[in-house]
Amino acid sequence: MVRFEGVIKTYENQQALTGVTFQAARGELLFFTGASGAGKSTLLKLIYRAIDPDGGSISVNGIETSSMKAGHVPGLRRMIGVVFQDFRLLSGRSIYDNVALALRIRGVAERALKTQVMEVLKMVGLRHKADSWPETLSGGEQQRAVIARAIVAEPVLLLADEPTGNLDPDTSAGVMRIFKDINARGTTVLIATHNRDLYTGTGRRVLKLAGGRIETEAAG
Amino acid sequence: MSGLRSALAGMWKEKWINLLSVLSIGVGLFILLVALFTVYNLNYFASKLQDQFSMTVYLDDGISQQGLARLEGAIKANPAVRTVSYISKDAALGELKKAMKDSAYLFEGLDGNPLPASIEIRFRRDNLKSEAAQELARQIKAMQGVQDVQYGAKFLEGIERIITGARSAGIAFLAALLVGVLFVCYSTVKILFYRRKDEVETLSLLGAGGWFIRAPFLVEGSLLGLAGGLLACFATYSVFGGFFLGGFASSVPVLRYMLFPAFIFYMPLPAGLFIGFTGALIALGRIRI
Repeated sequence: MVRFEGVIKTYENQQALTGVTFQAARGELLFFTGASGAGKSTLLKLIYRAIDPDGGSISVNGIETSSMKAGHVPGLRRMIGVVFQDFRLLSGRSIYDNVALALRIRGVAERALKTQVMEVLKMVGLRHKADSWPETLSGGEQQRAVIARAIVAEPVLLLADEPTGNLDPDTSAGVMRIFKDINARGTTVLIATHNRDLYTGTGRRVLKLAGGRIETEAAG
Repeated sequence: MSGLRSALAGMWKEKWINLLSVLSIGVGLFILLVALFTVYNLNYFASKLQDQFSMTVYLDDGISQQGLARLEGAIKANPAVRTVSYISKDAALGELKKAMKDSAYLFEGLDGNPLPASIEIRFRRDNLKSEAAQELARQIKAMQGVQDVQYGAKFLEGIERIITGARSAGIAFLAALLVGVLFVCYSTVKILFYRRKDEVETLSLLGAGGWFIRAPFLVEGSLLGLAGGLLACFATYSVFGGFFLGGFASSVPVLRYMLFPAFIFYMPLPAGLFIGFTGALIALGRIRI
């Protein structure tokens, strides 16, 4: 599903990734871990082309994305659901509208999307918050709203950047359950986290980043 | 629907900037209308003056009926000519006596009729150009049976200068105003876009295409223009309708002769919509998403 070969990314004079190579199989739940600044977020951003690589090759769902034209990037992003570290919920729009946005972008008709949005809000336990504004929600609720937006269009690939960064252990466990459910439905899930509890005991692959490259690969 | 909803939400969020823009667009469109009204009336008065213009062809005393018919036919064949009227020697003298009835003694002892017969030519308004009139006068003068041709060349040139000047100044002023109003829409949409840069970036990261992102701003620009147009309409109705056509017109005589074309009352709406949409389109076209 995702393949990196010798991917390099440099920010001004600082090398964030110095030749990363890995593969994530279709339907896999894969973790990236490492200290802050190890390059986890950079790696995910390269997958959905928020940033461009300086070298190497990246392919997503069989499509070479590192040399992809700018006009094709929205299409790539519509294949992917992203749980952003900084949430990126739009203020001034209800939780329902924030989640529905992912479907509107994909051209789903208004009548059809209501059922889908309410179903996914129910799945993340936010059905009762559909009409609330993002600002009025707790950190955990906002996190779940972002997950709802990321999965509502049933993407083939889900990326989550520090999805439990601001959450207490109980809420983190709830969020992890959602990811496992989504993964069980066949979606490939890539999670960047420094929260050891999230992957310990899962038996899933954990790639540890250090110094801009993959240092170790282990089972969680 | 999604674009309209986003646009309305966005407009409400930035209501003060939008209100200021609507006021600027409204005032700009109103000034534009006043300018249009002025140019329209200047043209109208100038064309009324053109209606007064005529060319007189003085005929030889010995011209035959056949020669006269041939001459009239040749003149009528010119596409710029509207009417041709023959004035006989007797009719010319009669007219002169009527015009100078207070000085009737001047005609005492007059031996015969010294006035020549003539043909008066009036022109179609749109075809009346001083160069064409000069050329026609030259051609007629060369015809058999013609003694002289006289017309108000200076008068015609003067009218032409007024019309050309008013049109040029009007067009330049209108174009400047149009660019000004367009720039207000352009700047507003650009400011709104940059103020919502985070939102735009999020939409882009979620996979929204360029036009999905641009559409609400286009709608917003169009609505701003439309609202400005509505304001200009209101101002036009109030000022033109109430002030000019009402009590004020009776105390300023010239206003009674002015024309108030219907378009000045409804034009601000489509004009505002067009300017708002175009301004937004230019602003968004220059932004890379």
